[in-house]
Amino acid sequence: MKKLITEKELAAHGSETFTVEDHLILAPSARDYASREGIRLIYPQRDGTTSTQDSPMDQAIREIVTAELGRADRNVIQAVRAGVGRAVGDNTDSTAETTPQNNPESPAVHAARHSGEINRAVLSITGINRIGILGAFTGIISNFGCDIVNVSQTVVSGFFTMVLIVDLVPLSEQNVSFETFRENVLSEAKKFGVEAMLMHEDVLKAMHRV
Amino acid sequence: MFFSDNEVIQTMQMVAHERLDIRTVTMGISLLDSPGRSRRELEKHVYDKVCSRAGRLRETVRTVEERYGIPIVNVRISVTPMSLVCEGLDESDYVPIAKALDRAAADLGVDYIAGYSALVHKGATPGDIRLIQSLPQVLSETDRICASVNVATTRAGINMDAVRLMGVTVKSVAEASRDRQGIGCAKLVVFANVPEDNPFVAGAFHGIGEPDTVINVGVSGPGVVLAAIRRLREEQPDADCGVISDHIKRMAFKITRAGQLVGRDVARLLGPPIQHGIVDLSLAPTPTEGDSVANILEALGLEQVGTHGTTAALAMLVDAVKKGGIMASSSVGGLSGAFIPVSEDLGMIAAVQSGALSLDKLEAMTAVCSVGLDMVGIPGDTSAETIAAIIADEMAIGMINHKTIGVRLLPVPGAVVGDMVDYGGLLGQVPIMPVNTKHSHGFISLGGRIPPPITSVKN
Repeated sequence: MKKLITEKELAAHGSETFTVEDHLILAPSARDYASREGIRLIYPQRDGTTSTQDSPMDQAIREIVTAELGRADRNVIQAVRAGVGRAVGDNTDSTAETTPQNNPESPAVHAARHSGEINRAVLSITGINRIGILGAFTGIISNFGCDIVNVSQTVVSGFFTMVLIVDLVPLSEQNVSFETFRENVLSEAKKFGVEAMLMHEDVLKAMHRV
Repeated sequence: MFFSDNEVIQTMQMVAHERLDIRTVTMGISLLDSPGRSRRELEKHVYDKVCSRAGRLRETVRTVEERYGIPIVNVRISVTPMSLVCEGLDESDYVPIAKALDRAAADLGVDYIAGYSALVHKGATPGDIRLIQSLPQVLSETDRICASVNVATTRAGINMDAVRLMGVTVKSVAEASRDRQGIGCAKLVVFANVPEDNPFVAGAFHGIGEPDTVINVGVSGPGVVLAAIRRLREEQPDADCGVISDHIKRMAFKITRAGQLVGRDVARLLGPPIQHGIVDLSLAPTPTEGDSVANILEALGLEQVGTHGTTAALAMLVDAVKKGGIMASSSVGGLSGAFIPVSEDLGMIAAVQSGALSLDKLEAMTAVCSVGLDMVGIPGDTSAETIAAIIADEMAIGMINHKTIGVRLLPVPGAVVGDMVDYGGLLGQVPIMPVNTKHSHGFISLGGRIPPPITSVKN
């Protein structure tokens, strides 16, 4: 039987990363706690690597590629990242950015994250599935330095729908307005001929949680 | 906290396809700090106070709109009933002061400023009368001023002298704005039991029991409710009234919560002394396909709005909307329910044109809706007494049923039954409806006060 890790136990662990071994299972509250506190969760059993270098973007890519192709090893993820980097015209080595080690939290971001302030947006993309669509959007988001904290996809009346939850704290840190971010995302959607909508998480929380 | 795909998609669809929006963010501003000033001082004072309180309003609303991704359609201002502010001034002072308010709204980029109002349900002061007499000139010479007069309450009864005066006034307002098809009347509401915190113009004002400055929010969403009912009936063809009513409640809850979020945030960003006031969830139609209260009633199984069963269906809708709203926020106020304006609802216009909806049926519907006879076009040659009698009927419904009721009649000069009058924009197109040709002169000329009902004595 697997052992359940609760929010309390995760808090007691006290480190910045937590390895979810095969025999462990995380309670939803613990997962929320981890994302709130910026604790990185490592799932060694999922890809067979120790993956201590996993950035949120890597995690997002892994989840999607696994869902699409059934597997995602480190080489595949690197290839997707490199492709995304090229697609968005990023000349820097795409593996060198967005990893927390190379992009340490600034005091402002740290303060915002740890004061319990949550500033996240929900991005939904609906349309006909096309190659590179997820890569393009994740590329834009990572260009703004934002984390993708959750990704899911589904098919609604024949249309492919992706839902991404994006951490916006880095935007305010860089003095980039939400509007600029939105414009970039929406213009990308136009390029792909899909419908994208961006909404603050608080709206969904107000409407769907009592 | 993450959301299920269904929750996200439902919300996005509400905004993208079902026209969920915040219909208005209305700042209520007290002008009770005005007495003892001369006309010139007062002009300066009302302009300065409105501009100082609302100076950052539009910009703040844009910030909140951008932040949450929900469209905020209108930004408006309401003020203390001007009859109280201007009491004691001369007749010639009213128009310049109204113009100062109009100028403030124009400079702030706000489309309407409401509160050119008088409360005369038990009797009128000389100031109230002067304000009412200034309405034709004020409403035809300003663009943004909205006026209202409360002529009845459940506690006080109906002031029939005021009703008679309003019949005459509505006619002269229409005449004064004859060159613009009597548009002045679209900015004038006659009320019973008027709420003091209503964010929706033209009937808004900032009540005397209110704090200095508040942010009231009007949320709408006939499109959301319509789509939800259609989906429910497709998925669950055997859903009965109880199930449907429950479903409407859930939708109303969600919409109200979005409104509350916006209201709180606007007030928080503006900072003290500005406070969050109320959320008013009213299904307010716009002349756009699918954004119609009439279509909701038709989705409940009526061939066309106005037929038998319409009043019952509307009663169920309004009640469910109120209950969902009450559950969502402890500061629900204003009118909260469903509006049934004729010109602003494509379904209502179609029903008038096909003959399914008459003025008499509309009157019955106002007994259960949250406003009253709203944006109803009548022939230009309707007499002042008949207009007063239509108002009196509505006031009686409001008084006896302890409910707010408003009358916004448009006796369009020169128009006859069957004409369509186009005001454009949110005001829409008004079909001219026939009124009863038998006169009511004798009854209206009685004057005096209709005493309040026995149920008003509750102490």
